[in-house]
Amino acid sequence: MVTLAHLYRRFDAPFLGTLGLVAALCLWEIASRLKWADPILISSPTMVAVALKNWAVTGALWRDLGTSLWELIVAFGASAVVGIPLGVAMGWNRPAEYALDPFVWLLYSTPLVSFWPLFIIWLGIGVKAIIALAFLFSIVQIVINTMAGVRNIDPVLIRCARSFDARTIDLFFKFTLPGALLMIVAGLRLALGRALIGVVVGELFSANAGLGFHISYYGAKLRFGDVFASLFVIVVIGVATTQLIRLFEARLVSWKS
Amino acid sequence: MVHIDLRQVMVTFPQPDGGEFLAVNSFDLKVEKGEFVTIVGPSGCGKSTILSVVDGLIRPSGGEALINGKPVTGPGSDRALVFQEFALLPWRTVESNIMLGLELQHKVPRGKIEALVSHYIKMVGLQGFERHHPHQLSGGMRQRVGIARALAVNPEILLMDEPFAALDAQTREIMSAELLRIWEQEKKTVLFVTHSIDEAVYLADRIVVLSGCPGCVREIIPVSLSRPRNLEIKDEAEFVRLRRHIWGLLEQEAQRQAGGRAGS
Repeated sequence: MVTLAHLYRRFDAPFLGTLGLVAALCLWEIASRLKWADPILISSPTMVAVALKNWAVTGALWRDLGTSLWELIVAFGASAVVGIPLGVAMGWNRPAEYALDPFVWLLYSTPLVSFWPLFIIWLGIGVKAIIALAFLFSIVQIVINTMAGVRNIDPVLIRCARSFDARTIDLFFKFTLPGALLMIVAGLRLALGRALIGVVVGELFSANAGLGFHISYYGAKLRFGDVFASLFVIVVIGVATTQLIRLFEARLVSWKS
Repeated sequence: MVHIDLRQVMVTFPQPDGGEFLAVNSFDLKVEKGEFVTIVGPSGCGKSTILSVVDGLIRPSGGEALINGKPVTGPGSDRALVFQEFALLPWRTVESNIMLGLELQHKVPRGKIEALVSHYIKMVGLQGFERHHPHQLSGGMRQRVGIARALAVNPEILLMDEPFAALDAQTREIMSAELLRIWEQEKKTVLFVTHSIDEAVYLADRIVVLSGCPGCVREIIPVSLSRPRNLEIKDEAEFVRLRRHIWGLLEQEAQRQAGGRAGS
């Protein structure tokens, strides 16, 4: 018989996680209602809900969401298309790694936001510059993971391939690439998060639509309910897209379980 | 007929400090066609290096390695290697791992591969596990896949690099008996490296005992135990005598290694 105790033991992690979240929301609502802090500054869950509803009803939500998603998909897609072959080349070929390595670490350790003024000049204010920023945020992670995945193939498998006198093309497609696949997809998952940051940051600076724009617009008007509403939508996008890739990952490693 | 002929084979590896490490020194061995030869010796005596030379993965720095009288120039489909670490592709099923060698060598047409694979699956006793992945199998079963993969390319020579070293003691006994059963059917030439004296005696027609000086042959011992052999043979006087004799040859080296490599 399934008792409550059983259920709890089975689902304790999601249960306690939800409990913590609900408790925090209640505390927030109470703090706002009892004016522990200025409700204009801290807003409240109900105010956020109302803001979200109004945003959806006017249709602006769908326009902002569409703009941000479009920027995210283009930037992320382009960084995957460019980043995976670059990472493969660097993992496969030492000279390629030595030649490209400085650029990767430069991009990885530079605060990429500082490129923003350049992008504005080169690409103009708006979607193009935002996509360029998100692209840079995203591609580094993809290159690094792909390179590591290609590089870290088990040496005994290489020995096995050589012993069977494998052609280079077979070594690549039957050993290296499938062996690196998990690392590559994990890189895509992390890169997606970084691309989302790039999109939001770009929109915060200069845009006339998008979730980041929504934040900066209402932030300037001190309408923090609306600001939190767009944060909420951004979190939902981040979690949803990441989970999508996780599902894909789980399918890929079906041979492990 | 001499199948594998190693003449004064020497292997050195370059060291980071610019020097050279001598892994095998003037190694001589002739293996007859269909013969089962085991190479036994302490760790680091160059056993696996010799296998790599025969497989064509390592070029000798001196001497020569001949197969059917022709020098080895690289890996070829007349030889197949079985690895201590199994070296299976974790994302491939049993079936698909066994066909790997056939795929890589591009010699057998696609249509015939399936029949070959199912033949060898039967031979190594893996029926019912065709669609399993390596991680779902025990160590012994994984090495059955490794053996089937090597046999599937129909090599003349089977090179086995401590194939049962990663298995527990009981599985190891069973696997060596299984190997003999398969070998009786296939009659390949086998070069089998091990550090287990028991295994070396049980399997071999001849045993090559190496000593610590890199790849120096201490003694080559013919084994007169009758075939087919079962595991009970290990209680016979001749088996016990051989085991004691080899242990006598290796003991000094083994003591030195066990005592924290004093003097090395």
